[in-house]
Amino acid sequence: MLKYDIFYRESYTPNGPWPEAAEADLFVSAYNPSIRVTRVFENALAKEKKWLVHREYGFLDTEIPAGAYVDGGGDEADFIAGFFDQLAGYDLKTLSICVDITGFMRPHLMFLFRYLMHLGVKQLNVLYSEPVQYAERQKTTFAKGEVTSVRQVAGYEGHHSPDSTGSDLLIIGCGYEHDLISYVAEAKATAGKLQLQCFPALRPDFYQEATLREELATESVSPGSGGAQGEQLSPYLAPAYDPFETAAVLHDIVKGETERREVKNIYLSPVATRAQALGFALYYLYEWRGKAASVIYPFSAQYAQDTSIGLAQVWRYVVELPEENAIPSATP
Amino acid sequence: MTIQSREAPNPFTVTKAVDFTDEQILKTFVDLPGEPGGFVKLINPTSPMPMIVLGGKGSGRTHLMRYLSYPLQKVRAAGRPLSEQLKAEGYLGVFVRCEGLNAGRFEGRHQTADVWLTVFAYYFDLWLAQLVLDAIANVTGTAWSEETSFCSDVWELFDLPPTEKPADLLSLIGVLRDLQRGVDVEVNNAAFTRSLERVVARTTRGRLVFGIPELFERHCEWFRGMLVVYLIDEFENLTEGQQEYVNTLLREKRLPTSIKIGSRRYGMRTYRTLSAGEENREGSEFELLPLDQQLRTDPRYPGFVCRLIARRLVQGGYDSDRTLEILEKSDLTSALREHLRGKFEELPSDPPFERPSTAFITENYQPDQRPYLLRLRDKLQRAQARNLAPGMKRPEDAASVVEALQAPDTPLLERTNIFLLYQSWYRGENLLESAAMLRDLSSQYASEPDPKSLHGRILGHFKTDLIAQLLREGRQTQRYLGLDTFILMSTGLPRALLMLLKHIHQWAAFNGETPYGNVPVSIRSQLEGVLQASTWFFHDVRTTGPTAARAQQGVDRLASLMRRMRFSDKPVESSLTTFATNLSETSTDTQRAVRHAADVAMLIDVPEGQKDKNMRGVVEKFQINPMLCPRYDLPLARRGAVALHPWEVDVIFCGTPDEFDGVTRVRVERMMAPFRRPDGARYIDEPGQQQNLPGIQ
Repeated sequence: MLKYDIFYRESYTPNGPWPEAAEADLFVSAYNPSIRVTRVFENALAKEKKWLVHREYGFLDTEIPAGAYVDGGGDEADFIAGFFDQLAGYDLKTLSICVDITGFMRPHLMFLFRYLMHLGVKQLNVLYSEPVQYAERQKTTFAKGEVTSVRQVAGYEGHHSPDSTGSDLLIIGCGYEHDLISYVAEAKATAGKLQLQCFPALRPDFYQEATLREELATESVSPGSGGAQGEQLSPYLAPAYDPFETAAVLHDIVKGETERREVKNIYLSPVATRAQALGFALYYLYEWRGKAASVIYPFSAQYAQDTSIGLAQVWRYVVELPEENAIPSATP
Repeated sequence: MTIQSREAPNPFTVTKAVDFTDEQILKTFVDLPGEPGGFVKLINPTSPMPMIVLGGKGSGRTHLMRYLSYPLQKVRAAGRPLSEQLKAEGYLGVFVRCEGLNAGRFEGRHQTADVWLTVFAYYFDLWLAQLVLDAIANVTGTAWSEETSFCSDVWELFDLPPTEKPADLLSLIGVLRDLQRGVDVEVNNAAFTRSLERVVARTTRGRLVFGIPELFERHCEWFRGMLVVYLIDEFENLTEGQQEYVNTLLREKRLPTSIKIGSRRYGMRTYRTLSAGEENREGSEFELLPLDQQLRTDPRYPGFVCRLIARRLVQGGYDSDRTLEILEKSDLTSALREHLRGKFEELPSDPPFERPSTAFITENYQPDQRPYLLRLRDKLQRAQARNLAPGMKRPEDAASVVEALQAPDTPLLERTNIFLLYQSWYRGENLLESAAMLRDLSSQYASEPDPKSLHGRILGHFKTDLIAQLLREGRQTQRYLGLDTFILMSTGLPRALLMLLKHIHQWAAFNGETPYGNVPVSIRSQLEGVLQASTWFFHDVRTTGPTAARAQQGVDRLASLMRRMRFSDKPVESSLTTFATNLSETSTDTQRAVRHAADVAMLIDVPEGQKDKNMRGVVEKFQINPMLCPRYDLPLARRGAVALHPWEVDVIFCGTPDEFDGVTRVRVERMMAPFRRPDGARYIDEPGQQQNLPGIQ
């Protein structure tokens, strides 16, 4: 089994000098006017810096930074592939790359790592910035407007079994948005469901706020036929800021479930922090690619531009990606 | 809030079929009272005629379709040879969950709709083929002499057979799985390659789906004359184009295959087929079973759900003396229903004055301190100051009017007097004279309650609403109590009833009660549970997309408007939960939102459309689902209907908050004393105004 804890991570205070280890040839970030995104972009030391702009944030033309790559429509695969089409002259395998995932939409950041893996990138620096608080505390809504569909994330679509006996497993990475949790749970109604909550949270009060909201989704997250009958299982916990620990906990959860019962299909859905989404992505890429597992996500037409206040600290993760032809370690 | 109790396990915890194992599906399956096999006869699996089963969330559609599937047939066999069980039932049920197809990935990625359709059709065929072969492998076991020749013939169904020719069923299934994997890889990689050129469909559309059952019939003697029934559930998960393909299979099905499609009402995106765009038509290509509508109007529904409750209680260990078990098995469910009624506390009915239901007024308020009397006096004084209280001139007139209406021992009669005075006020009559007349009529009715008298007629129509007003004015929770109320609320959705009972049980346990023991569940626990279940229903029926968002907003606004009207000074119709409108004159977005609200059972179609004199065309009626009514303090019964102008319906479903406030204000102000416009002018229902603001029907 892969030891996720060997991956390196560290945090910086926002006011200190830019860490030498995070300097890069190419710095990539998704534009969002929140201070935790713009300040990191300004301070980053890189030969070239690139903004990507999600159309779902609904920016006016005048708000978009000069030279930014703007989403031309299509799904997360079109967006990311379109961006790298513009960098066709670069040999990404030889460049040092640093990606700030803070402003990315979760499906797009997941596909970004899948695509970098496809391009042969083996290692990169990843930054994630913690806010001081979310704008409206537990009432903060990141998705704006209604959920338009719940579907698989491009690049994370597995090879599923037609078996209809309901022995599927859905693991939801729970965050602030109880609505999203409900949508995901409803989309895989048949699956046994487990919740992975962010603990420790980014800030101590975030956990309480998120718990208040998750309570609202309780009815949707029924145990499923594969779950414990008549019981609501206690949620699992992984730090909101640690993708590697998230991946390790996912590994343990799935191992435990597959030892306990037959699991035909696995669905993963991170709807909490971007760091958590990265953890889900890494777990999938290392262990489930091409098998009976998928990452699913509740897509909205629009997302709020700025949901956070301040910049508390910046995490740096050294992410190593598996090779495209490497055999994933899990066996369905 | 989630409440857990260790003392009393909740027998209603599981409310979805998907949360049950096959064995539990069988154990919890309850049939309609009367002739055995009522539910199975509804779907009629031995009929070759295809069927579309439409059912809202919680209608029991999946439970029923799973009940018909092979794994359940196997459980039902209970040790007897499977071939005998299947022969007795006449079919082999192959359950297909469309959710598992993850159909959303078969679009986009720079491919045309035609390319995706080709890939999806091939994938769907491979999917169904694996499922039917799994069932055949299971039912035939290891000693089927025809296995090799059957596999060989299945092989011939391929136009481009894969390289290896399997000799047994497991190998054949493995080959199909590899073919499916090949398609998965190409579809998933299209995110990088932007191409599907390497997907090669090795069979003609539908050939595996129909060919395998044909070959099974040919190779398996005991199966002859039986059917393979594809039970394709969760059809709403397919896109319109994908549904067209399955519709085509349904249209072109051939024996020994039949197809039963299960879908939520909103989920049937199209009836079109790929056969030159022809549409499948009810009665011609398929039978339609609107399951929740059927249950809503089926006189057997109350008996059925009583059996459902009894089965859960028996399995939950709440039947130590085996009374429920015996009653459940009885053909007549009236005794069971009566027994279950006794498990919930209710207030005794005491017509016409309903003193037990209104005792909180006499207990909590002095005769001259009752909130509705104080409010009336305040309104009269304010109106008198503006010269808007007809007949009132002296400072003491307000107190005189109020005093004349008092009936301290019978709050309901007292409240009826207030209601009648507001009606007189609305008509511009002298309030002192009206109050004096009402005092006389009230005394007369108190001593000799005549249902044909003025008070008798008002109580005949408005008793529920007047008690609701008393409850609201006395700061009490509205009452939704007793088994019959819960059955009425569930409106053909068994899961709604289970959710009600689940939440009531949780609250009863939390409040230290022992539900379903010797003491009935308290009123307090019932009220808490009902409110929680109502809120659950509001959120549970939500689906994705802008139309769903408009539908939910619209129903929320509509119910709020009706609540304001119900608790106005002069509600003009009793038990208001229904509206009528000429929907064809509303915007397309509104029509979609209203239809969607009906499809997800937030609204219930009231069948009798009618001509309206004030509005052109046929009027459609919709009732707010009784499950939602407690959330808005609305009544459960349906009597009157407010006629809404199409532009009002547009505002309710698609307007801005300010526009909706405007509609509410205009509607409600005319029902509130002193019944004057802001400029002091009277509201007069002139014909010209009716055109713009339809009234109550």
